[in-house]
Amino acid sequence: MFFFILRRLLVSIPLLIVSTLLVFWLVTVSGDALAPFRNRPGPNGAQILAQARQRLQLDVPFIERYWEWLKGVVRLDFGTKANGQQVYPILKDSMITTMRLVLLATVLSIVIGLVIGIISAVRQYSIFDYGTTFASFLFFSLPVFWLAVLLKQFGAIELNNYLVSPTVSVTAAIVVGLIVGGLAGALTGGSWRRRLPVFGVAATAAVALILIADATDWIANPGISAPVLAVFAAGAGVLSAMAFAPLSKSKVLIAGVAAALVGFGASLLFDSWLEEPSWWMLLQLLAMSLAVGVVIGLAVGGFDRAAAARAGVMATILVGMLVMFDRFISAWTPGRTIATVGPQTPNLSGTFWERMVDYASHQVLPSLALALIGLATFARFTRASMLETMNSDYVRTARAKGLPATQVVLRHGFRTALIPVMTIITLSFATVIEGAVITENVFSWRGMGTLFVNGLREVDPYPVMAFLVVVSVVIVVMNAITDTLYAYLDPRIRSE
Amino acid sequence: MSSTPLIEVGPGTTGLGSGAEREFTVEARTQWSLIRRRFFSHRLAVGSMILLLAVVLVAFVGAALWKYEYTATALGPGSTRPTFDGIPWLDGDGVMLGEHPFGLDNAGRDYFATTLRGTQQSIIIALFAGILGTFIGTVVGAIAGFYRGWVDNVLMRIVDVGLTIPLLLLAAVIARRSGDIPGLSWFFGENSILLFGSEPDNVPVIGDYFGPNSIILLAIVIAMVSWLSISRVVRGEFLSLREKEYVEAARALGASNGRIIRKHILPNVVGTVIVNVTLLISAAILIETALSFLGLGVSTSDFSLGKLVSDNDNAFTTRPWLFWWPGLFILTISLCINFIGDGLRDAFDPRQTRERR
Repeated sequence: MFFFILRRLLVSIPLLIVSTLLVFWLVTVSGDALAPFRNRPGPNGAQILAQARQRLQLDVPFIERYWEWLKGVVRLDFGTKANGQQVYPILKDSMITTMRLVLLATVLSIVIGLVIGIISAVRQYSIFDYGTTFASFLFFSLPVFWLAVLLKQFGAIELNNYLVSPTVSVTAAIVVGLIVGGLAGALTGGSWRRRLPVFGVAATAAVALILIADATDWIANPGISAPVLAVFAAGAGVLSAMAFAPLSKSKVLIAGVAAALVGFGASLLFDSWLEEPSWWMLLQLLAMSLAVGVVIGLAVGGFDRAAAARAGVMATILVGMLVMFDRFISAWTPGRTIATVGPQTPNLSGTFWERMVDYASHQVLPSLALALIGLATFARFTRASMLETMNSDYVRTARAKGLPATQVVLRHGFRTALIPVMTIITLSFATVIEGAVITENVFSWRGMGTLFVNGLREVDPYPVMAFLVVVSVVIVVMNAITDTLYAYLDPRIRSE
Repeated sequence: MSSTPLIEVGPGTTGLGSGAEREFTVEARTQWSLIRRRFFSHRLAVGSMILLLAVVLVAFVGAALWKYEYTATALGPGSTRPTFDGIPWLDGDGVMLGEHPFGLDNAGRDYFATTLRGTQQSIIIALFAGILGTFIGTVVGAIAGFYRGWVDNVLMRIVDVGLTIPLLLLAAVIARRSGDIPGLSWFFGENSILLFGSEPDNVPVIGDYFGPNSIILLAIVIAMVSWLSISRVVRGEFLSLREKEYVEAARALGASNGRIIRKHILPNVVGTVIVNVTLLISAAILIETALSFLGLGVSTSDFSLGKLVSDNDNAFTTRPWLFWWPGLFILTISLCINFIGDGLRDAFDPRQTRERR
């Protein structure tokens, strides 16, 4: 496997060289880099022009410039811009900015897209299926910047106006309740007789929750109190047990709930860490919760050890996310609102969680704009791929031998269906980086898209090349990851 | 999974008759009539096709009949509100177009005429780019997949390299340098200085070099990147189809390579290709709007839907109609084409057909 990936990486090197050479040439011929230096008034205009030509190395043949650039890239020296700035420091900053945007968008679109795809395949031809199909088509028919402008208007400006004094009228609560109930009813399969109670319960619960939130002014000062958090944690435990075994397997259930509660207890214990954590502390907490989940699962699980350990890990991670979420929304102050300009507030200070809230409020809209479009593609592909596997013989066998539905769908159906979806996901990563060019433009982020477009505008090859190198490296790495995941998902590839 | 039989029971028969009776009353259908039937039973696709035809008709015929030219400015005070009324139950006036259905823009142009002009341009670009891209992609994919070996290797490496070239860069190069194309001197470069341009050329818009025909050039740029993915798909199909028995039979009968490609394999790829045409056309519309948004699209004095949106994206709060109308047109066209593509996919792939109520 290692040699297989290594071979793939080596094969892509000539490709990279040819494509960088071509792009270098295209940028240099794309216009007149000396335009700003021409027609300078004054006696020494010609001298300035000659200096600029020498500084930009325009007197050197193009192929030699490329060779110099190539030698530089190996040492992480990406050349200098026309104004004398080094490209590498700019690239580093803009890469972090863009990667934040792109990674969040990709993760969001993968998670939501896969979930929607699975559900709409399992509930084929249901209202949910028709609804999401229509929405997917809608989203990939939308121009990104049009969507981004709409999000800016309704997701930021109007939402901010609302958040100044957030109150919910009873009518609004009922409307939202009906929507939530309708969604829950659409998700449940089967007859109207089965769906109506689900609809009723979900709708009433939603209306009640919204009214309580309104009465306690929760929207302005959000947070989850410890007892409620404990209940949620227990629920997360049950959910994770359900994902890996039928509920009748009590040992898995016990493991899930126990791991969740231990996780919750630990969050109280590590309260001081969570007040002002660092990324390193959070990583340690993650490692600890993984270990706790596995240990509890193995200890309690008995014969269902493997499933119990999985459920334990999932439970602790879910609880961890809940606790983090609680911290996060507690740091929200009514003054802070959704931002539309730049990746963060300049000269930001404050606690860890306040900084996180600031990042999130800047990031949510651009990421959403990118995610909605990727999400539509992923949902469609997952649905098609799931439909194919769910109709295959081994899935019928799995059903026939009495496995619970979640097991059949997730471990037999989804795992196989993921193979073609993987290809789309990794391929789309590069497209998303390129799509970020426009999103960055609308939300005035200074990321790699800006680097690229400005380089193009100034007929300066080095920033453009830096962009290309990053995108190419991402593509190559993504391909390697796909190959590895293929082997994990499809045992036939391993035996090859 | 139900598979559709090649012979379907015609509407006149019950389909429940005895074997012998059935055999003589069923009507044999050709592949194409089956496909047509399946497509026309896809209600959403047919509805989209009608809507799309209506949009095209309004854009081309309607614009010609409309009382204002898109070039006429100062028809009234700038930024007049739209008079179009499509929701009669709100004020009881009934559906009406009025003097300026989509209002006036800042320069006092009739925005209805402008939007229709933009729609025309966008549709021409998308159609041309989609069809050209599909044609090139199909030819290259067919040759690569059929001949395999070094031909395949060379062509697919070209595709690999092409996929790494950013569209924006290509558009910028063509936009700034296309004025030199007749002499093609820039391509060969008599000396290195010539490569950097002997005169200042800071006109970044494709359209400004070629005047009214520039949209064809823009379409060619879009086609230059969009054929790549099609060629891969077609190559894959050819690789598997060339090994089929009927191809072997045709070869045994002495058919030439060209004949096998055209008469035996290509008809079997046509479904994939047609579906891809629709995908490409809708992608081309979005690419054109994106290019225009970044200032690399149609001529500065002309209009496309993307340019209209990007010109007016700051007007959202004060003059929202300038932003909404072109956007809704983009959305409608692109959505219709996508639904038609979905219907075509179902029609060409019998395994995917489903019972529709």
